[in-house]
Amino acid sequence: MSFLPSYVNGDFLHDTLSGAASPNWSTNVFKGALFTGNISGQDANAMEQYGVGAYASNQCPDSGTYAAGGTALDTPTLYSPSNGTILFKDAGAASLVWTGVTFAGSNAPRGIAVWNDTLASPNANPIVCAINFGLDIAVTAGTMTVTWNTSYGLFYFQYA
Amino acid sequence: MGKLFNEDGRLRDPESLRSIYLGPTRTPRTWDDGGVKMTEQLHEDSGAVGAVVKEHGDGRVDAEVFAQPIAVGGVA
Repeated sequence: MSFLPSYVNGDFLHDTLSGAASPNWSTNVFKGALFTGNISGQDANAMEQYGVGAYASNQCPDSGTYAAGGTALDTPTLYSPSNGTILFKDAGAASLVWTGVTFAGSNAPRGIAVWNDTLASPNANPIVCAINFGLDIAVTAGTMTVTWNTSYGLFYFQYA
Repeated sequence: MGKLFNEDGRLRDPESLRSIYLGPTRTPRTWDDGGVKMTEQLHEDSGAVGAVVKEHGDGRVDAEVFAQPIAVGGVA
């Protein structure tokens, strides 16, 4: 039981490129949900869905402004900043922020799963990517902030 | 020590490499910010600063996580 190293879900990526899935990377709702290090069964190469399998349990509990499912990115954007790079970022907000939260002990988040809350087919609520924080993060009656990388966003492709 | 290569054998992304250069012996900084204790916490794999924790002294603890971006693929 542990949060896998950060990954983009390969099966969802395949569905996207093959046309089996048609996400709109700008207008769809993408949410970031916090999961603990007790998550089990993640698979970067199989279809994963929020609320199913590995993502059916071990989400951080509701606390403060954090509620199951997490919070939507403000302005999801697929962006090409230069030749040879495409990245997925939140162009509207640098971070996801939850206030008045307590995540302690086994409820401390180890990573965040970003999922599509708009797509209904071929699989509803697909996991897009999961980012391992590299450590468990405990907060007490405080503010939990997940800040995205300013240069590379959530994930990026370099093809040249 | 962080890994230079991903599990699939590809070189890690520049951000991760940069963090590795900081070295595993990097000591997390702790400082006082107007009576609030600020502490860096290091990413266990890369050694980069994974989060900054803010202890207010009244029991409240905030945390800011720096989500490291994921590099997909690369030049084979």
